[in-house]
Amino acid sequence: MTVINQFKFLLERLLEIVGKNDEPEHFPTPESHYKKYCDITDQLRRQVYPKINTGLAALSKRSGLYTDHSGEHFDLVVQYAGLMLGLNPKVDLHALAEDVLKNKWVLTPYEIYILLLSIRFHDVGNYYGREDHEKMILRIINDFQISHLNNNQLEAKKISEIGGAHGGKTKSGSKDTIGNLAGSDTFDGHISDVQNKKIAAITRFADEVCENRQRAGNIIPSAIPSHNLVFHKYAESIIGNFIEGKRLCLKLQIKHSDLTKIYQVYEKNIKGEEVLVDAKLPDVTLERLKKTELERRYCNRYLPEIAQINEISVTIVILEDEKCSESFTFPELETYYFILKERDYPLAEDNILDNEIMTFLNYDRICALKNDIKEVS
Amino acid sequence: MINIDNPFSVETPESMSAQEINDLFVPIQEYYDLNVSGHVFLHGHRGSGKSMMFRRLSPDCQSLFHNKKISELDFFGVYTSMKKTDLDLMDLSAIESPNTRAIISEHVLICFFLSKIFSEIRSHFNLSAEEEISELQCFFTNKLVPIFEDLGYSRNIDKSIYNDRKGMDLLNYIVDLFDNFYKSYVSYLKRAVTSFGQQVNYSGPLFSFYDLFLPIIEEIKTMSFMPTGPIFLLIDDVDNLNISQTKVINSWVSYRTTDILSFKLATQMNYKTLVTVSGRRIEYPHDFKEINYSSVYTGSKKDKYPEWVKAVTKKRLNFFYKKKYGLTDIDIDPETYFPFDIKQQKAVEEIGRKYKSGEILGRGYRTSDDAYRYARTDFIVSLGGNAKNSSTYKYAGFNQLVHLSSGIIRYFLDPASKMYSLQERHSKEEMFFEINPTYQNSVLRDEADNLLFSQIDNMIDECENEEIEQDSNIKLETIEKLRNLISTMGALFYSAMKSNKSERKFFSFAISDPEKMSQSLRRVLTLGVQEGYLYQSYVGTKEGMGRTKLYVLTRRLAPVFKLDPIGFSAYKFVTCKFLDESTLQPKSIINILKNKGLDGVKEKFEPKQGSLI
Repeated sequence: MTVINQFKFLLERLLEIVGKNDEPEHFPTPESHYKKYCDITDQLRRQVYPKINTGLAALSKRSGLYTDHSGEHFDLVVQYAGLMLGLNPKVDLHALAEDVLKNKWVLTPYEIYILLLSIRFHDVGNYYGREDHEKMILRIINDFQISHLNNNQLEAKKISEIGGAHGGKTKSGSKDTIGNLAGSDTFDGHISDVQNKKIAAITRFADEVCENRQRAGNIIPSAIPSHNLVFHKYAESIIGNFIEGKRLCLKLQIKHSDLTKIYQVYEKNIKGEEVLVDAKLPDVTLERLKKTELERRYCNRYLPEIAQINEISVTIVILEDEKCSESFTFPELETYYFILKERDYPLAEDNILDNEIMTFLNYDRICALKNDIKEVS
Repeated sequence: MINIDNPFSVETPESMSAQEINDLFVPIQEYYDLNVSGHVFLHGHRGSGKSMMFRRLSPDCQSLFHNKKISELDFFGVYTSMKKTDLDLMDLSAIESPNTRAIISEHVLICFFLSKIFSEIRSHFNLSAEEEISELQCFFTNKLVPIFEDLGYSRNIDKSIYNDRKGMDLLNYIVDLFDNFYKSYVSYLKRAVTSFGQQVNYSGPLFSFYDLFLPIIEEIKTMSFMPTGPIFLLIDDVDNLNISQTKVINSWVSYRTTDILSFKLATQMNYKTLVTVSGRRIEYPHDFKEINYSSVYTGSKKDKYPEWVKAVTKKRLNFFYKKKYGLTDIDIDPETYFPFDIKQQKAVEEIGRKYKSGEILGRGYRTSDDAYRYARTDFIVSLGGNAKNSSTYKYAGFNQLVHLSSGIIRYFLDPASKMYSLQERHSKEEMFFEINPTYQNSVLRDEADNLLFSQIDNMIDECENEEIEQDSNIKLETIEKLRNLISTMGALFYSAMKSNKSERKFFSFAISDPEKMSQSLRRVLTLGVQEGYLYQSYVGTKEGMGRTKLYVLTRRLAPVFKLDPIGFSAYKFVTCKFLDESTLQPKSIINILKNKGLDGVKEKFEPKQGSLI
């Protein structure tokens, strides 16, 4: 198998250091787990990743153009998982590797390997279409005869369960997919034992926060089906998403006309039938921010303190539709900054976003905004 | 096929025909709780009739009983027993991590149960009709194969097999398919055991509940020859599952699939945990119903037990005399079949008469109560005296036999079977319709001795052969302590009988200070309950606030301690200190009881203050 010869993310470099020496005391089998990881990723890059977007478009119940699920998406999640764990270019990876090998870090060497693979596989099920994609990881491993995993179904099953917990519902209908994994309380220090819930939580939150303009791609709006457009607009609006210490920083820039436009999305009516209904970008933005905050709180439940994100800072900028003739940029109409975090007594889900945020992204207020400004000027 | 040489012989329900089950089975109220969809835990001691209840839920018995075709039944019951050798071939703990064990255990249990379910279908249908053949083929091609394909396991199933094998042949292939997966697991285990701690790759498929098990069950139910109701998986002896397998079963119980698949799980009071694979705990009544089969007859419903045993005995006797001697028009009364000792009964009745007439002054509120409660007790005590001839008291008569079985039908049937054999030996091949009280007494005394001595010796022997020395030592100590505790409590209850207290008939003790219970005492009491020497229940505390544990001594031991097994008995409050001492120094307490009676013990353990025991 070819070893990948391209840019390595910090988490991958860490595995390279701790996993190259056939360390029998750190891995279940005396072989280089970094090489195994490279072989597997290489095969995914060659055979699976290039076909996912096509599979998504062609085999999903609702056809259309989905947000990008090519190899870059998986790279981004690897990168964000590293950031969550405090890996940045300033970190001395060799010193950190010493800690990892002494089991003094948040992940054991084998857990780094499993985490990376769970990220590399978490969305591959989209190859068979969007629906239940999180439950199709094992099928990819078996159908594509993924090296090293195809003949090690136990490891394959673990990766499919951990990676599969990044979304959807358990088949019993619960959204608590991580809680449903085999419990970490059974962790007995056995070399091949991993704390499933912790790894799943890292995978899930890294996947959640990596969405940004880059992922939305440079797609001609007319190529995007109308029922997907509003989601592309949201992804496109995220110009900054980075982790700074224990904080996730999100910066959104949205053109005024995008905020006032009426889009359409599919929703289930009371009979359970999918029908097209009107949707507005401010409402979608509020929903997505609320979901990100909920995901943060949910994943924190399963994360050790070192990997927890304590708050999300959000900056939303509403832009003019026309570029300024002097600066060649879109002038800012309004900016709003706020923090999402737990405060005071636990509140119901509906109260995650306070009234000021709701008012700022109120559709009618935004529509009136330009008129108001005109009146003032 | 049941044994027609002895009306009371105990056969395994699996080996009995549907007709025999229907002829012999007497339902009790709890049976109807099992009869409906829902996950149920059925806790009961060995021999309490759990397997018979399960067997009765099998399709052949249900079909015969309701006079319906299997497809018209409300459910399809699949009985399976977790014998120790079935699934726990090797110790998984030696080879893999807990999470891996959970994955393997789920896969193995699914293979095991699917093989059982398809085998059960095989045994109830002949699948020769054109429609059935085509339905099974459709199930295989359009349902089973796609389920394998969706999991990426298409290479593990022969898709074209239906060309060569049809009907029963195809069903045999399906049974073999899951059996072979099970075999490959066994071979993996063997390799893993010899790999000295290194991980061994497992290349076979790994099934899970929602991916494969439930979808297959759903599809099985749609075949027209199957009932449309749920499949009941009737799993006997689930205590024998190892800890990983138990957690997997608990995870399945936590899923709300009862309309498709309901688990009925029988335990012998030693179920390992209620925790699921994900670390959650399944809870009653949220996730499952619970029937405590042994307490059914020691708790509030105890009055029903004698009636039930009478009905069971009557059915067995009538069935037997009809089969063996061709007596079709016979109706044997169990009370006549197991007569009491007339002379002894007269003496007891005479004491009762004296209570009622006031010749003996009772201490209760009503003389009739005293006559009922204490006539027999007084008689037993009167036989004791200095001549030490109390063993001449005869434990005989249907009523005493029922009480001595302590709520477990097998402890009635086993001795009854031996009594029958003894009577038969003395009857010179002549037909008989009653069993001599002397033979009844002799068997019951042997059984009691056997329970206290041989059975405990056997437990000790088993323990000494265990491989882990430390565990073995703790177990040995616990067994010895249990024997000491039982001996002391037996002596205490006999001493109470001899006392002049207003309440002097006891068979149980409640703990007055449960918060002080030592780990060692807890182990002793738990072992006592598991092995059937004690039954556990709850009573109000002495102070009237809250509840505390109550332990009832098995009445099977009554002959050893010269106790009266019949009728009402009270419970004594004892302290943990007394119980601890009983487990360590039984002889000193027994000597005090012998020489100074109950008051002597009270003095020793609580010299000045109010109540001790």
